Parts: sequence; structure tokens; C-alpha cells
Amino acid sequence: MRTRIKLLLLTLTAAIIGGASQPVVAYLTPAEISKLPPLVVVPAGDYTFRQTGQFRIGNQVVDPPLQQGATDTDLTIMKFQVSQAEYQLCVQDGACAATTVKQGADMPQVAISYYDAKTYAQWFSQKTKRNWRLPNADEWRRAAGDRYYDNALGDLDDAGDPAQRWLLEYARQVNLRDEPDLNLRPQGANGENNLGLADISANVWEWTSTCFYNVQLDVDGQREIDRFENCLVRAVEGKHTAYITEFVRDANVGGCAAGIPPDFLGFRLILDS
Amino acid sequence: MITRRDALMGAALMASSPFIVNTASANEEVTDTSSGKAVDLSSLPRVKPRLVTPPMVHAHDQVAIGGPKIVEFEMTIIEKEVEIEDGVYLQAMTYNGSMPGPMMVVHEGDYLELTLYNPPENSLQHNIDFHAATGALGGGSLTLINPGEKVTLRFKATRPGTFVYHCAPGGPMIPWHVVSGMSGAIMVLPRDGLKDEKDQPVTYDKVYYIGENDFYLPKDEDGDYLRFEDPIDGYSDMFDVMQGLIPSHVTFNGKVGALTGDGALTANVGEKVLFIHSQANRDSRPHLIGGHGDLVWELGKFNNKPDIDLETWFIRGGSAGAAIYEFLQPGVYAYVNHNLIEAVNLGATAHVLVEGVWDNDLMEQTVAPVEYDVATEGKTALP
Repeated sequence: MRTRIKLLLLTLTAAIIGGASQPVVAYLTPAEISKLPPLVVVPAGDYTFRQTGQFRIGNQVVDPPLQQGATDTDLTIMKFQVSQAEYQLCVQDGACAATTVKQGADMPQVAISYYDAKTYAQWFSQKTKRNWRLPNADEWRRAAGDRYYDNALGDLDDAGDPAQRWLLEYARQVNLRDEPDLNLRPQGANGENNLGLADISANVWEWTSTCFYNVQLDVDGQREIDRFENCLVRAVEGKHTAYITEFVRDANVGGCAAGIPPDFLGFRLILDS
Repeated sequence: MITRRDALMGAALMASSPFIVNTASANEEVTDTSSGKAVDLSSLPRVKPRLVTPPMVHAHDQVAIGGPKIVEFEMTIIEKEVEIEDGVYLQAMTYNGSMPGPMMVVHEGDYLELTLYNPPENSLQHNIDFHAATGALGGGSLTLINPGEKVTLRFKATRPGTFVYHCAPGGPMIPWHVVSGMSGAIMVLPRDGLKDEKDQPVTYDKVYYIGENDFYLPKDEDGDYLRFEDPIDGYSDMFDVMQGLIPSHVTFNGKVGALTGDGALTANVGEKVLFIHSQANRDSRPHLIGGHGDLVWELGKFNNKPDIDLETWFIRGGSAGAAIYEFLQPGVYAYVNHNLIEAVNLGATAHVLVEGVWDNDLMEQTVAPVEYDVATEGKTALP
């Protein structure tokens, strides 16, 4: 029984990877370069975003401040997260480090570290002669559109009690996430947001280039007094922002003393004009 | 297609019962007590508490009211496939459908009388070995039942404490049934309740029963966990993993994350919580991150004085221990097996969400994380 299921799966995988009529490297020939992955243009304009990092007034942790932003440039970003088939090309080319491959070529490539994602972006840029890079957290949030979750806790009545914030944060994550969702689904299976991006804020969190910041605000919470940066830890975006050390490929292991970790780590890239 | 089970069954030429059971139980003596001298317990009152699913424990008196009783329980053995981690499946064998099996509470001097059902849809023989019971392999050799049979066992609870029970149907079936989920615990309370280290009465406001399981799930050559049609189909693959002694999962309440998130335990500041921790097969070391064990019966036996103020306590494989802790601070606590690889990577973590008011006298962050001046600060820390 189990043997047959496995064989089927292998056949399917082989069909998708190998079935692309040409040998796999053909994808990388100049003729194929024009076949860029599907892209979505996030239009220029005004937008509101919450800043990234841990913010404090004095010793008290507060929600990251909201900011109005405006940009006069469009954002061109991959419609889908990078798939296993796509990532495997980079592995086969000797540029990317091999990682777990499961369930099929049209699945998003997960078990990806920040370093893996960055390496892929460099390789893909070289191969396609275009500039690909990870989004920063603000860009990701713009692209997330109506699937962006603002996880602010708001003003707490008993903000003076640190444990309340901790418990609320825990409850909020449980409500938002329900349970870990470890069923990986093919590209596009999680639907699109209002901008046409697929699979945003489902069970694959996406790496961004934004570092972890510890920010001190003035007493009114209006002005930054101090900002401390740690770039060994990057913001990973999904239903909530997680801060993950850049060499970690799977943040979801067993339990977590501090909260609920992302189910999977994957990525998509921005195309710079 | 011929499954492994078909092949083995065919080879064994045993249509009426699965082959493994017969070979395995051949060296176990099934006995009876019919020629023993009769005892008359007809004057004792009977009560019949309904068992509840762990981590909850059925309602009980901490101090016994009246004299010894016969406390009746019923349990049904359920063989079923259980998701022990999202997307990972075990052909589980369970007492009453849960891992661990439900906790039974009696008082010292009471008689525990269990009726055990093995429904006809099950495929294997099962029994129960009570570590709290005296004789006949803990009742194991009096309770071996085939699918479609029931049995009733009564034993006198002579020693107060927390004790494991588990299935022990003979030979290699014993560890296999246990690591497939068949274990639980009972608590025999002293008739006058628990006592602290100075022999003063102590009570608890709530009790949680945390049953730890070690599972040994085989993987295929791609590193994916195998899934099986029934327990027998998975036996030989699981056996190979068991022989290596390294579990694939170590869980509380039968599933990674069963006691976190929506399943997290709750308490209030000022509440005394009794945590009972059982492990039928393998050593463990409970630790409450951010808390302590005020009174710990590490061995679980209440005639021994409890240890006090422990950070971590040891649960020997095949035993159940008990610890009382009064929560002093609100917030999120993690209750873990403090082999942290097992806690974080293999699943042995529970959360306790505690409501109340923070006490800065006990703990305060006097300086929040802030950049320091390396030219002038931090010079005095090193020797």
C-alpha cells in the first residue's frame, strides 16, 4: 500500500520536472529567459504600513508605529512563491544548497533559509540578466494587499501589567493561526489577494531582507530616540511577522516557549527595473 | 496487491487471530483466581466515577470521606489511526481513545475495580498491568482479552502514590503496545490527603495529568514518515526504529502541540496546581520554565516526604511522579521535558497560561535591551 503511494508520487514528480520537453538546463538558455515566472505589478501610490521591529517607550513594549508612505514606483514581484522545480534548477546548477524536496515540483520550495533565498536571487539574476532580490518587509506588506494582517494589540487597559500583553499576544496568535498547518499545497492553491499575488499569508512564510530592529520611542511614541539593528535576524512575513535567524530553514519544530512559529519558510522575489 | 500483513498472515496460516499475538503470548501464563479463598466485600459501598480525557482528571475528594470503597471504572480499548504531529500518523492502540489513557483516582485502602473492553473491531489482544497492584504481573496475566471480550479486575490500593498502568500482552508485544500509546496512570491518595515536607496537610486547586509518550515512527528513503493500514502492517518497520532506542517523537498528550495553543493549560496566580507526569517507557525530566516544583514527589509515592523547591525532577521510565506548584507570576509558562532536544525538536512541550497581576518585586526588567557604549561599558564583567 505505502509502496504504491510512494511510487505514484515519484512518477508524478518525475513527470513534472523531467516532462518539460527539454533537459532542465534548457530553462536557462537565452531563448528561455524570456519565460520569466508570472509577475504582478503592485501600483505606485499611497500606502499605510506598520514599521518592523520591537518598539518600546521606556521599558514598555508597544505596537510598532503606523506610518503613511507614498511611492512613485511600481513594485514588480513574483505572483507565486518560488517552486521546488525552480529551486532545483539552481541546485542542479551548483549554485544553491540542496534542501528538502517533498511532495512535488509545483509545490513552493520550503525549508529555505535567508541565505538560500538570497543565493537563489543572485543566481537567478545572473541567469536571467535581470535584477532579482528579496522584498523588504514594507514592500512585502504593500504586495500582501488585503491579505496583510495588522497584528497590533492596540492600547491595553492594563498595559502596566507586562504579563497581560504576553497573554494577549499568545491568544491573538492562537486565534489567527488556529493550529499549525503543515499540509503543503501547490502554487496557487491558497488563492490570490486583491492584487493578484498567490498564496500570500497562507502556511508558507516569506523571507524579507529587513533586519531585526530594537527601537526606542520618545514618551509620546512619536519620535525615534534610538534604533539598534541585528542583521543576523530577518523579518519573515506571513500571518504575523516572525524574526528568524538567517541560517534557519525550518522554524516549526515541536514546541516553542515564546509563541507559535511559522509553519514553513519560503520566498518570492522582486524584479527591479 | 498483497500487503505485508496478508503475507505474514498467510505464512502463519492463522485465520482466527493475528499471528504475532499467538507467538508473542506463548510464553505468558494466563491465569485465574478461582481457587483462591473467597473474600466478602459485599458490605463496601460502590462508586463509579466517569473517566475524563487527559490532561483533565475526574472529580475526586482529596481527603477520603468515610471508609474504604469499591471504585468502579470502565475503559474501552480503541485501536485507531492518530495524527501525532500534523501530517504524521500512528496506528495507535489506546485506553479509552486517548494517549495517555485516563487517570483513575482512588484512596489508599479502596478497591479499584476495572472493567476492560476489547471491541470486536480491534485486531489485537490486550491487557492491563497496574504498577499499583500486587501480584499476577500487576493484573496483566488476569486481563488478557481478545477482540470481542471484556474482563473485570479488582485490586486493593495498598500504596499511596501515582502509578503507571500499561498494556503488557507478552514478549515483543509489550514494548510495541506501550510505544503505540497504551499507557496511563492512577493516583492513590492517602485517606487523609497529601502532606507537605513538614507533614502538614496540603491541598491543590487543580490537577493536570501529563502523559508523556515516546513514538518510533519509521521513514521512507525520502525522509517522509510512513503511513500504515493497521497496527500489524506497521509492526516490523516500527520495530526496527524501536531497536535504535531513538524516538522520532516525544509528546505530551499524544500529539506534538496537544497542550499548546488552544490546548494550553490554564491557571491563576495564587493557585496550587498538581502536575502528574507519567512515562511508561523512557526517562523524562519535567521542568516548568519560569516556575518550580514547590513539593515534588519525584518517585510519585506519597509515603515518602516530598522534595521542595526543585528546578527539574526526574521521572524514571515506568513511573509517574507528582509536583505541586503555586503560580506566583502571570504570563506564559512552558512545561517541558528538559532534554531540550526532546522538548523543542521532538515535541515534549506544554504551555501554561497564567492570569494575574505581575509582581515587580519577584522580577523586573530594569533596563530594556539597549545598545551600550563599548568604549566605556561592559569592562567590569569579565574576571
